[in-house]
Amino acid sequence: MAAIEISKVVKTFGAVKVLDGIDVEVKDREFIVLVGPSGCGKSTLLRMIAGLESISGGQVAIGGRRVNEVGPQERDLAMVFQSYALYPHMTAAENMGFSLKLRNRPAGEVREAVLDAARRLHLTALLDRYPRQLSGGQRQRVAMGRAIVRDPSAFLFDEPLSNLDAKLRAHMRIEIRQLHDALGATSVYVTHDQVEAMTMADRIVVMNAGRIEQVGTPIELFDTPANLFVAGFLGAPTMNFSGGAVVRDDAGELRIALQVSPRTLPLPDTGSLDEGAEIVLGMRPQHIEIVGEDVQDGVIDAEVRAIEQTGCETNLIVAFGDVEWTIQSHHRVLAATGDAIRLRLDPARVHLFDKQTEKRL
Amino acid sequence: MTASTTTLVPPSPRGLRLSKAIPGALLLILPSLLLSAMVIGYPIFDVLRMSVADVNRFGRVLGFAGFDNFLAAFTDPIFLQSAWQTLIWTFCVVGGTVLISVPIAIILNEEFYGRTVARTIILLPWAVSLAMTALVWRFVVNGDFGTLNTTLSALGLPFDNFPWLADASTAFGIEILVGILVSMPFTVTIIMGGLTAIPDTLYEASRMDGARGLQGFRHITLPLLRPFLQIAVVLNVIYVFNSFPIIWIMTNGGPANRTDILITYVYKQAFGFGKLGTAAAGSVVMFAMLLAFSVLYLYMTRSREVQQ
Repeated sequence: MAAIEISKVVKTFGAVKVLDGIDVEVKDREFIVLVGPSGCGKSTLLRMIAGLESISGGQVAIGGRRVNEVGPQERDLAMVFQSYALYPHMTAAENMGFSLKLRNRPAGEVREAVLDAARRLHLTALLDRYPRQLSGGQRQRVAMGRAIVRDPSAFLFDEPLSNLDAKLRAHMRIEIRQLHDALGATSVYVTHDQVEAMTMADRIVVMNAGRIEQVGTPIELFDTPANLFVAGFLGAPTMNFSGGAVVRDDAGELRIALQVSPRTLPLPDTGSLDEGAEIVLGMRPQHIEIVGEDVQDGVIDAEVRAIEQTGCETNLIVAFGDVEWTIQSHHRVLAATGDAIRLRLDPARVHLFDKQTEKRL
Repeated sequence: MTASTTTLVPPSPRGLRLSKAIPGALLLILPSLLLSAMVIGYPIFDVLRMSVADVNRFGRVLGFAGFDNFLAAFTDPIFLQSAWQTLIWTFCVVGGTVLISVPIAIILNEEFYGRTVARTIILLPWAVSLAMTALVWRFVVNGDFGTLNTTLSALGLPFDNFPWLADASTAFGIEILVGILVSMPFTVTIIMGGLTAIPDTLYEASRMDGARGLQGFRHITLPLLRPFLQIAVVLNVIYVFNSFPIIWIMTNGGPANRTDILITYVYKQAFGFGKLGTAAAGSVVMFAMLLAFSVLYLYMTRSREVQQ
């Protein structure tokens, strides 16, 4: 296994710059997830690591060796494709053993390696089947098997679970992560699904429009998103936002005046904010508390617009005029559409962003 | 009870629909069926009848001849020679066509500047009638005023007045080349269809697996093209086996029957020598051979459908 260093990588297609100065260091045995909306360049970056896409600028190094000019055959990486890309004319076993066969390994050795991988992936009974005779989940496993058979220096995953149903996807998330740990592998995993990113990664790289927005552990990104984009991208349901400003109240204290509420909120201690500063306040749906009429400070009033009961939690869509927020509560909330509702925003969990730079304050 | 029986053994909806639909549908296609039977069936029937009959040169059946016509054909050295030449002709044209068409299709499948123009040029011979193509090539290889000899001589090569079509081996060789030229567009089209059906990710996966150079072609392209190649071979065999205009126009089967194939032999027997019985027997032999190939083709396309 090996570390992968990506430094100042640029990719242009004609006049279009799709990646602009990407720096990522994937440590040995690390599970890195590249996540971002479609078109953000994450798949292109993965393909550049793989060698399937040329590198317009900067450098990719695997295990300390510059590989910019090295073909995918020589990079010793294994890739799992979104479409699985299984060879339709080969059985599962032949698919898995193909890379070893190309290296002219003895048939006995190939068989052993394939059987070993098949045991890990519970594929032993399916080895003689052709891809068309396998279900989506089984094909996915064969694609994984093809990757692990040859013990590469790193694994690349290109949205490998996006063609599976929700239940199987949740299961395969755990299985891929376990496999990664068991093999002591280095993995780079591309997805647009923030749940996959949060649950699988050691570190997440959030990308947007050809740039990196933030790199960090899932909890770091969730708790302290570096900017509005990351804040809005991670977490489900998505974070609620409201524009606002810092004002001074009658007692001379600095408080937050929100566009969505005539009441002001206490200003969390950020130290750097002055009166008149324009901000965006972010609040995760899980961190908003529904309180009674008796609570007076740190609250805002809203009107219930819709209620979704999922059984274990309640999602409330509330409105402040035109602005809608989502609130997620683990209590059964018995409210009806049109009810007035009072919400308390925990000052410790308020996220504040600069309105101009969109950076975290 | 009735309900439970139906759920246990559901009647085949397909069967039901078919049996209900058959009389009406049959009635609707009856006119075309009759027309086909007349246009296709009657000549087959008449050839079969003539092949076992004593027929005079005007096509009048004089009596039953048993297998005499077949015997006459099979004891005619020219028939055997033509049969052998048919095999060479078919094998060389079809084999050469497929060998040349695969790389051409692969090139045309790549992205490059002017691809559309290149595709059109490759497909152009298809648009010209076989007879016209043959005629043009006869002029080109003409010994005295053909452009081929003019060009070769201009290059300083000793081909002044070289009679290409007067010598059997060069004549047959040139006819085979023309045969390949006219069969290529169709074959390239089939193979290009096969190539576009191969997803690019398979090549990417094979490169990640370590395939380099021609290994991708050998392990991915060729096996996945196989069904398309099979169909290209069978259809070409059917067309080429029976292809009349090239040989007829360029050499007339000559010199000394050395470029005759079965179809030109049969034509000569019937309309040159008035031996309609022998010609019919020869036609029946050809018909049987082609029927075998057509059945093979149907079997191959059917088994592919079953696979899918």
